[in-house]
Order: sequence, then structure tokens, then C-alpha cells
Amino acid sequence: MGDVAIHPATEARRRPSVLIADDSAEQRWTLRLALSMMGFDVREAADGRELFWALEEQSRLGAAEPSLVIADVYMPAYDGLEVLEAWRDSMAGRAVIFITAFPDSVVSRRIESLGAELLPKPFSLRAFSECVRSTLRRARAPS
Amino acid sequence: MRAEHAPARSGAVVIERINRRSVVPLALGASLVIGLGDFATGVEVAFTLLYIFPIALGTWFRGRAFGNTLAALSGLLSAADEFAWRVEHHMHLHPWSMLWNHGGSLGIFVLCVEVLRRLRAYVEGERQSRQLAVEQLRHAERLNVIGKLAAGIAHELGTPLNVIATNAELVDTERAPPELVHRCCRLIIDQSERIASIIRQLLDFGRRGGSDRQATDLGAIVESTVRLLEPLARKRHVELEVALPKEPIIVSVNHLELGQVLSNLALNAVQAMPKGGRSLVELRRDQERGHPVAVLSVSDEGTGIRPEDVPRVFDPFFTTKGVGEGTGLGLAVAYGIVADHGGRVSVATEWGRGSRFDVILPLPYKTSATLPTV
Repeated sequence: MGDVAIHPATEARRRPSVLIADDSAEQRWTLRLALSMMGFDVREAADGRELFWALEEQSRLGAAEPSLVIADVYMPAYDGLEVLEAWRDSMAGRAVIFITAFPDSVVSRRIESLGAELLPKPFSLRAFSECVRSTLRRARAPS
Repeated sequence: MRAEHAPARSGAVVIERINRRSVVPLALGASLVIGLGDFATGVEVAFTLLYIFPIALGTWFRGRAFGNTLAALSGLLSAADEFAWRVEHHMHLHPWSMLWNHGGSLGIFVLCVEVLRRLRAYVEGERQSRQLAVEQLRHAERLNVIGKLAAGIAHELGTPLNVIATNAELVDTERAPPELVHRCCRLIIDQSERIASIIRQLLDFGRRGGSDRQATDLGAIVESTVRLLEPLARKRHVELEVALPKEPIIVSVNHLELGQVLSNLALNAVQAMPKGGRSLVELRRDQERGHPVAVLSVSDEGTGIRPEDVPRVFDPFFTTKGVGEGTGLGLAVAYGIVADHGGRVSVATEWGRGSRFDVILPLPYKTSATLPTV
């Protein structure tokens, strides 16, 4: 799936960045399309390793905060949970949504302890955008 | 896990103490008591020791071999025979001696039968508890399999389903940019096909056999399958090498099924080498216990299989790959197909060094180098 020219959303003045990590190219393409229309600046990672390096680069460059990470739980190389648990200490201002088709109790507990959101697959576009908005709102205004 | 013994019935305290170890000294002791009784009642002691004890022992062994009813009849017959012999030879028959002899003989017999019954009950209990344990294990395994299958299906189907749902919503709400609508639809079609293919694969696992077989050159199957897999192997930096014998090996097989076996094994080999490497697909003739066989072996220099996982590699849905990478059906399907062809699959592996899977197919005794005319 190559890059796609997406119409910029009208309400976005400062485009927040979002990182999508999923091993399914089709899934990434679809989420990229949806998020671009919501006015996000989208980057992709195809597996756990790419996700790790993308996070590394993001923290080095001090990317625009708050940033959103949407990661699949099960991925080749390292799974999304492993990578984000490794980044647990520098999670400040970073909102994380995990998507998985099989959220068992162990996975749910780990996601909860990370302070991340869990969005079970399959989800509707409305549920997805609602989840993205509420997660970002919470990350912007930490209680 | 041990079976609970049935509680002893009333008055069976002595019998309770009887087991395999104590039965012989008890029988000897009983014979001695009877012998002393004989001596007191004026019957020759040698008779008891020489006849009653062997009769009882014989009854016991017969009981083990043929069942208690037959043994009881035979024991009574022996006693009657002995009685008749005495009458015939005009020997002294004292009523007390009769009671001693036959009562003692009966007592020993009952003792032996009781011991036998106990032993049988014990063995039966052990057998039942073992069967129960096996049943429980199977049940646990089934639940385990169902859980794994559920996780596998949820992930395998969840992602394409999600792509379909989201893209359909994008098109439906006319939020997708017009030039991308076509692509969204294309994705929906592709993902539906992917779901269909996963379901087909699962169904294939369920129904096998009844396939039409033809005399086929195994080398040709190897070549065509490896050619199919080469692009994927190259992408993962794996070099697929092929070693074929000079003479073709002709076997009556279903070439599609055999191709599936080989591609499943070769895919595993490729996936076992995440850092790339070399995988050898070798076909050769061999002998196994005097029978000619064709051996198709696929070896890799990958991660190998953990020793504790080796007995389970052919189990359906057993996988060490991440969810989504493998359904755990590949080796189970391969094993089933090879077994349908009268062969077997064996595995040799070393953790950290690599694995080798051998498909062993029986060959007819006279194999011609040419394909028979059909």
C-alpha cells in the first residue's frame, strides 16, 4: 500500500501525529485513510521492530506532543505490548490505543497497567474515531 | 491418582490382610493346621500335605486362568476323586477326618478365590483410574485446542473483517475521497476472499482422503513446489536447495496433496530461519526394514524445536508461531496426508541448530523408471 494523497481535514490547524503499528498492510491503509480524514499526520510501522525504532526516532526528535500510538497486540518480531511496555517510562504525553481481535484477560490486564486503551476488533469507524478522540482528550488533560 | 477400594464387608477383617505377598505363607499355615488336625483324628498327615495343598494351589491357578466357577468345579472334582479313591481302597473314613479334609480344602479354596477377587478389583480400579486420567487429559487438551482455535480464528478473521467493516463504512458515509472509493471496494473484495480462503483451509483440514491418485514422479512435485515457494524464501533471505536422485521415483500419489505436504514443511523451514539461511529439500530412495521407501526430507538450519514441544508438533492447532502467523494446522495436515498414502513423517531436531522432517513413503517392490501408459 503506497502513500495516498488524503484531503486535509478542515478543523485541524496543528496536525497531531499518530503512529500506526499493524502487520496487516490493508489494516494500516484503512486506518491511515480514516485518521488522515480526521486530520492526523500518520506514520506507519509494519511490525514490533519498526514500532520500536519509530518511537525511538520520535522521542529523539521530540515530536509534536501529544502523539498517539495505535498498535496491534500480536505482531511479528516483537508484539505491540512488549514494545510499549519497554517504553513505559517515557510514556508522558503519549496516548496509546491497542487494537486486537482476541483480548484475553492477560492482555487486557497488561494494557490496563500501561494506562492504555483497548479497542477490540472488529470495530466500527464511529467507535474508532470516538476512541481516538477520547484517548487524546484524556492525554491532553491528565488528571 | 488411585481408585478408592470398596470398604471391607463385615467379618472380612482377616481377608482384609490377605494380599499377593501373604497368601502363600497363609496357605502353608492352613495346611499345617489341617495336617495337625489329621494327626489328631488319626488320618495320615502326608495325605493333607501332599494332596489338599496342591489341589488348593491348582484351584487358585485355574481360577486365574479360567474363572472362579470352573475352578470351583474342578476343585470339588479333585476332592470327590480323592474320596472315591479312598472308598475303593477300603481306607478308614472317619467323619471328623472327612470334615477336616474337605472343610480345610474348601476354606483354602475360598481364601484363594477371595484373594483373586481382591487382586482383580485392584487391577480394575487401577485401570479405571488410569482411563479416567487419560479422559481428563483429553478433555483438557480439547478445551485447550478449542481455546487456541478460537484465538487463531479471532485473529485470522478479525483483521480482514475489520478492514471490510471500516472500508464499507467509509464508502457508505461517502467520506472516502472519490478517487479512493474504487480502492476501498477492492480491499473489501480482497479481504472477503481472504476470509473465504481461511475457511476453506479449515474445512480442508476436516475432510481429506478419497482423492484420486496417479503414478507421479516425486521429483517433479518437488521441483514445482519449490519453484512456487522460491519468491517467498528469497524475500526472507532463505536459500532453497534441491537434491534429486538421478532416476525418477514414481509413486501413486495425489500430486496436489503431496505438494501441500512439501510446501507446509518448506514453509516451516523458511519461517524457522528468521535471519535467513539455507534449507535443503532432498529426495532419495532408501530401505526401511527390508522394504523400499522414498524419503523426502526438508532440513533447515533454523531455531529447531524445543524438546518438550517435539511430541506435539503434529497435533492439530499446535503452533509455536505467533498468532496470525500459523494456524497450527500445517504439520497436522501434512501428517494426515502422508498417513493416507501409507507413509509417515518423522522429525529430527536440535534446539538452536535446526530441524529435519522426513516424509517416508512406501515404494512398490518393482519400480519402473518410466511412467506406465495409462
